[in-house]
This record gives sequence, C-alpha cells and structure tokens, in this order.
Amino acid sequence: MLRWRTILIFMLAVGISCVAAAYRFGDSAHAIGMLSSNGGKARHPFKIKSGKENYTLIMTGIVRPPYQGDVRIALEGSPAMGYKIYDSVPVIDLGIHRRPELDGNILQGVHSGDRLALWLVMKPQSADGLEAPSGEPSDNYMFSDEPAQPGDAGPAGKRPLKLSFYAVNSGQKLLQIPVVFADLQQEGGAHGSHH
Amino acid sequence: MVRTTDSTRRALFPRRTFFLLLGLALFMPPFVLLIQVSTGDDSFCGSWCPRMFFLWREGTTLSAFLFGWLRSWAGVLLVFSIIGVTFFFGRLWCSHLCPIGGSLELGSRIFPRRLSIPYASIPAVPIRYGYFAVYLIAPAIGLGSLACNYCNFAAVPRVVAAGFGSPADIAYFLRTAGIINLALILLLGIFARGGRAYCNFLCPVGAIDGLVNRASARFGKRVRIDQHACNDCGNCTTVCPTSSISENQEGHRIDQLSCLPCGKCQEVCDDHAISYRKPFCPTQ
Repeated sequence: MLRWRTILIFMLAVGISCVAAAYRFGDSAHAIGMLSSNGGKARHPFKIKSGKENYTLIMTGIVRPPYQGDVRIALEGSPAMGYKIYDSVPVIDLGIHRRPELDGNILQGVHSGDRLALWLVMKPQSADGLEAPSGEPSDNYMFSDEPAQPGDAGPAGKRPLKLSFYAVNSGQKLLQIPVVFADLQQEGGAHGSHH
Repeated sequence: MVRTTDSTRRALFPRRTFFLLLGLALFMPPFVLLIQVSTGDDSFCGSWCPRMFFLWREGTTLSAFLFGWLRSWAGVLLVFSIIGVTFFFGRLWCSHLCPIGGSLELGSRIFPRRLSIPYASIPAVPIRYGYFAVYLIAPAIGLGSLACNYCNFAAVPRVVAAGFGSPADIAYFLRTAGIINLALILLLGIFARGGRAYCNFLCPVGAIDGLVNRASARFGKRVRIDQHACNDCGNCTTVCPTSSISENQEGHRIDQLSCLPCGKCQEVCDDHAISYRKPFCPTQ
C-alpha cells in the first residue's frame, strides 16, 4: 500500500516537473554570447511572447581576446521599446577583482576574458500588438532608436529587434543577439537569425 | 544510557547558528566573501554554479559538456567537496553551511511557529526524486530545463540583494519566474515549519547529497537511533525539519535520504537514544 502511494506521488511529481520544465515564461529570457572583434557569437536568441507589460532579458557572456576597450550596448530595431540596462555586481564590492563599469549603456574598461552579466528591462511603447497596457516608459529609460545595420530588414520591412554590442572607439560590431517574439515569428512581426 | 563522547558533535551542533551565519557571509549578499575573493563573481551564477555542470543537454558535444565543467569550476569543486564531506560526516553542508537552506531556516525561526505550514504529512522523498529525475532527463531529451527558471541558488541570494536595493536583482522579480521563485521561497522556506521544505522537496544539490548520505551510511558518521534506549516518545519526529524520522514496527528509524545532521532530535531525546556516530560504534 505504502509502496503504491510512493510510486503514485513520484509519478505525479514527474508529471508536474515535466510541465514546469517544458513551459517557458513569456516575459523573460536568457541568452549566452561571446563578444569578439569578428562579430561575436550568440548561442541562441532571446525568445519571449508579445503583449506583456514589461520584459526582462538576461545576457551573460565572455569577452574573447584580443578585444579590449569600452563597449556600447544598444537595443535596436522594432517594435520600439524603452529599456534599461543593469549590471550584476556585488552589493558591497570588496574591490578585490577589477570589473568593467556600466555607465548608462556604456561598459567601461572591458578586458579580454571578462565575464559579463547584464539585465535588460524592456517596456513596449508602440503598436504592433506589443503596446504596453499601461503608460509610457519613464524618462530614465533609453529608447530602441539606434540604427540597425543594413540588410537587417525583415520581410515586413521592419528591422527585427536585437541587443547589440559595439566597440566605442571603432564602432565595430562585437555581438548581436536577436530578440524573438515567438508568437509573432510566423507572421513576420519580429524575427531574427543568430550567429 | 547513551553518552556520546564525540568531540565533532559537541563542536558542531551547539554552534549551528554560527555556522549558518558564516555560510551567509561567505556566499550571500551583501558580502559574498568567498565568491568575491575567489572568482570575482557576485553570485552562484557563473563560475560558482553548482547545479548545471552535470546536466547533459540534447545536442551537446562532449567538448561543450566539459567546457561547462571548466566554466563552473568553483561550483564543481563545491559539489565534490560537499559529496566528500557527506561521505564521511553526513550532510553537514546542508545542515550547517548551505546559505540557501540556512537563510530560509533562519527566516523561518523569525516567523511564528503557530502560523507556519507543516509539511510533515507530505512524503518528501518521492517528490524530491521525481523532480530530480526530470531535472536530469528533461534537458537531455530536449523537453526543457528546470535548471535556471527554478534555481534556488539564484533566487534566494537575489531576494537578499534586492533587499539591499541592487537594481539587477530587483529586475529579477519583475518577471514571472522571479515571482514564482519568491513564492516558493516563502511557502516552502520561511513560512514552512523548520524552514527546510524547499531543501526537502526541490533542491537538486540536496537530492544528490541525500543519495550519497544514504549510500555511504555504513561507512561514515550519521545521526542514529539506539532502538534499545528509545522509549518511542516521538519527540524527535515532531522537531525534525526534514520529517526524516518515522515509526514502524521495529521502532523509530531515520531515513538517511532526508536526514540533515542538525542535532535537533538529539536535543529533545531525554533518553539519549539518538547520537551522531559511526555504525556499530558503541554509544556509551
């Protein structure tokens, strides 16, 4: 009797855990990338669902040699988004290890081998079925109005949304990670390919 | 009567709160002392991740799998150290140093016991290993992953860091995953009687540790019950935070899959029937 009860609870736990493992939250995504002078590489795009009031993207990655210098981070393309970038740092930094500092959307003093952990909070501010249910982003949000690269336009004539990293000195692209709205992907509303 | 003369027990159990606070200082915000000193990370994500390196994902090459071990080298070291300590001394990491379980237990001590949620009637072992089986298999077959979305080693430090006003950690709780994790931390941690329901039901590191604890029980020190001295009062079952003490026809027994050597059962055992010792070791 006890054994059957144990097996039943085990199977129930397996079933619920399978659902939890398969389900993806539509308002957040994580992508891993490598920043490098030859354009970088993202393991996969951010995948989220449209219609949310805000989104949280997490980007972790390393900087490959020989790149060294400041890095500009920009959210480019459409739909238009207000966004804020946060750097993950210790609450009380003991100052034992050097780390790049985030000033607005510029990462200062990036060295080869540095590990980055950035959080991006996005708020929709335009149509395309992605309008925020309430209000506009506040003044301290940046806006996704940076120019996209030529050839980025999708079939609907819109530039797909991408999180991009550029060398401040040369303007060279170090990494681009597409932000894909999974539910609009087949309609051509927002899509992208990754390196 | 049982009179253990074990110096390890005397050194560890009465000072458990000190060790739990030490674990917080070493691994939790605001200081994350050990993590900052060693790798410069700010949390368990990155070099210190103890939950992902052993997961095989669909399509992963052997070199990518091994690279994951290199990337999480501090987490690898941590997990193998935990296993080594558990083999000889029981789950001392979980009971004394783990900053995740420790912070939830310390939080639960502040929460009124009469309002706390008792999970003792829910069998933890089949739930824990059902969850753990999916944790291991789901990524390998491409079903998805429980690794990051339900990561206790990420969520609990972020609650603390958010409390100190860290914007990146506050951002974590602006998303559904953050809110669900916060609910799990509260319901299975701080509001749970004993504060260890999260450890008992959902922690993958705890699941590994429990298996090692059970498999090596015949070699190392564990909390054990002397059936001849036990008077079946049941005091130990009511205080056990992991509900690992049960009663059967032969008397009370401790399930080493769940037992953390916290020493609470020893404290309440008036007949000194419970001791922390090796098997077959005389207890007088």
